[in-house]
Amino acid sequence: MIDIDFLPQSYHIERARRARRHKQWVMILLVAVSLVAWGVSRQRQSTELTWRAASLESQAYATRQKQSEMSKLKNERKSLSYQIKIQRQLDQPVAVTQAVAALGQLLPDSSGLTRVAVQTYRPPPIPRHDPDEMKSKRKSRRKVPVDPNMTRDYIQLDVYGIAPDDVAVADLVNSMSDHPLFEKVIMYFSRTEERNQIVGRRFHVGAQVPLDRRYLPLKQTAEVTDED
Amino acid sequence: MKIDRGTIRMWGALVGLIVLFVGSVLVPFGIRDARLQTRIDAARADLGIGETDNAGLARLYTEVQRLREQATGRGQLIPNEDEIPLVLQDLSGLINAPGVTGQEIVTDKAGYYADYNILPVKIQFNAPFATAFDLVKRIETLSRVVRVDRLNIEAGPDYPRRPLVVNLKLSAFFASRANGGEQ
Repeated sequence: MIDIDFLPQSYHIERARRARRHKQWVMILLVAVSLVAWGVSRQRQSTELTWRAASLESQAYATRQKQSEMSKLKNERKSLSYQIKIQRQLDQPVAVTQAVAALGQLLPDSSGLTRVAVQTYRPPPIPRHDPDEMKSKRKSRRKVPVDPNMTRDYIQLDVYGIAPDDVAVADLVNSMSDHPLFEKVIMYFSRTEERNQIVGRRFHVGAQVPLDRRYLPLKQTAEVTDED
Repeated sequence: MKIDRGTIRMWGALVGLIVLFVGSVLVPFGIRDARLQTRIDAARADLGIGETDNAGLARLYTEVQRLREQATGRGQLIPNEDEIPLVLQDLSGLINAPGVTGQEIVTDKAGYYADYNILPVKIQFNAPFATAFDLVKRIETLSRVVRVDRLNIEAGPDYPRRPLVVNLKLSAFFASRANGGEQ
């Protein structure tokens, strides 16, 4: 069979060109669509990253706030622990005025005081050493003699006064000796003295109030005993 | 081989599209993402710092609260070195009471120790016994720790025409940075 093409050559060329151009524009369109899809996906990825950064930053801010709060609390804990430690070291179970008040209650009405001297003896504070000194001390390992002052912990009370007779002085010494606050009650002297034609006894009594113990009010102690 | 103008236009459009995409999408997003990544890394580094759990913070807060109550319950606090003038001001205010004469306050050289420091203060005044006793009691209960080291109450030969002579030696305690008191 003989196939005769009645269409001119130019028609075939034009048709092939149109088909190629069609394919080319379809390809461009496909590339453009792909690029747009890629762009959208990229933007979504970037948005997710923005959210993630914002969320992590807010968490980090909260963490920093907590850290700062924690640091403040740790500093306060250190400062308060120091305060409590020093308060315990310096805590004095009996105040000087309490010792004087107790003495005042025991003094017989007929006697009068001319002088009250109170001296507090507490263990001395630990000296401050610089680190180099401490190192050399550790190296030498010498035994440091125990300072007797380190164990002193009492209030020394010295009472000077005038009493009508020795009985009044003895009463004061006895009542001080019987009092739970006082220890080592000593009468140093009691001698006759005449002033303005009145004869009396000038005396000096000493006592100690130990500070190495805790004093409880009698009422409180009784309550505790009753409960037991 | 002959390339027609349509093909050239197509390739041109394709290259143009790609350049436009790279310039307007890929490069700006790349720069933005790099910045975001830096922020994320910094935030992650911050998240990894120390103990920050809520339970730990609550425990610490409770402990500090308990210590606060314990410290203030004891009444007297150790002042810092810069608060020492206030202690002297308090003492001076106390002894300038009615019925008190011949007031004198003398401070000595401060002693620096391992746990705390001491400023020796000597006070002298003349007063009737009740006033003197009340003053010493108030000194002992000041809000800052002061200890009465020595108290001497003496009646002169012309007593009771003249009031008692009171001599006090006090230790005013204070803390410095070296002691751990100042934070």
